[in-house]
Amino acid sequence: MQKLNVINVLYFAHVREIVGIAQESIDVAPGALVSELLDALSSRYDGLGPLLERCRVALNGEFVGPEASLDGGGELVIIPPVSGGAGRQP
Amino acid sequence: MMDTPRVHIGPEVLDTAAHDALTALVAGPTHGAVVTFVGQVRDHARGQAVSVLEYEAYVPMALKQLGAIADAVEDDFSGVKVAVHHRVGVLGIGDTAVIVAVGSAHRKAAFTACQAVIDRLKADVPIWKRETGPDGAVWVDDRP
Repeated sequence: MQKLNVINVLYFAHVREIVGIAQESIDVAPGALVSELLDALSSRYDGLGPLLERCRVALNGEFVGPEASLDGGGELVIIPPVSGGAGRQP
Repeated sequence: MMDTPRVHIGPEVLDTAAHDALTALVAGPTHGAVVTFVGQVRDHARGQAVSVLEYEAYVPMALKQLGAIADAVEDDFSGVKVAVHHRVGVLGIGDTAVIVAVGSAHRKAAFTACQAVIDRLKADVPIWKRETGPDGAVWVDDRP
């Protein structure tokens, strides 16, 4: 049997308030993608799904897309929209 | 700070001494133009009063991104030197949250490069702010 990949997921700002914790460790199957982990998190935490649509994801300190592989494990961070300045509203 | 790093994210107060240290990092005999951007906590946002602002960062990545932005802007504007410090933690009205210092041989590149640094910082560096106002506290999310 292939070894599960351990992903340490960190939550910040709006995302941390929704999930209620700052980090957790999640085992994923070999070949799992970022998108699959995000889907699992959306199911687990009420209200996270809509926010995820506006978040970016970083894996081991680099922005990655939903099709990125989680093989090798590491640190995944959901990056909510960053602080901006005056905002986009008038 | 004794040895001022080119990019830094931390709880240290960004005061006049910090501003001087950042300016010194990018100034020099060949850099006759120094432009600084100082971002301070404003007492209002989106039509609401703001009393306190809290900044939170994913520090390892934010530092890496800041360094990459400084490198990229120095590549884009030949000869320009960039330094950026961003504060995190709880800040009051008028406190300085960020200082960008850019040195160049000539003023035009210094102004343009300074704007490029702060614009990229706001877009790509994982630093979030939480505003406290009369209706409570909210993480700022500039999307509708």
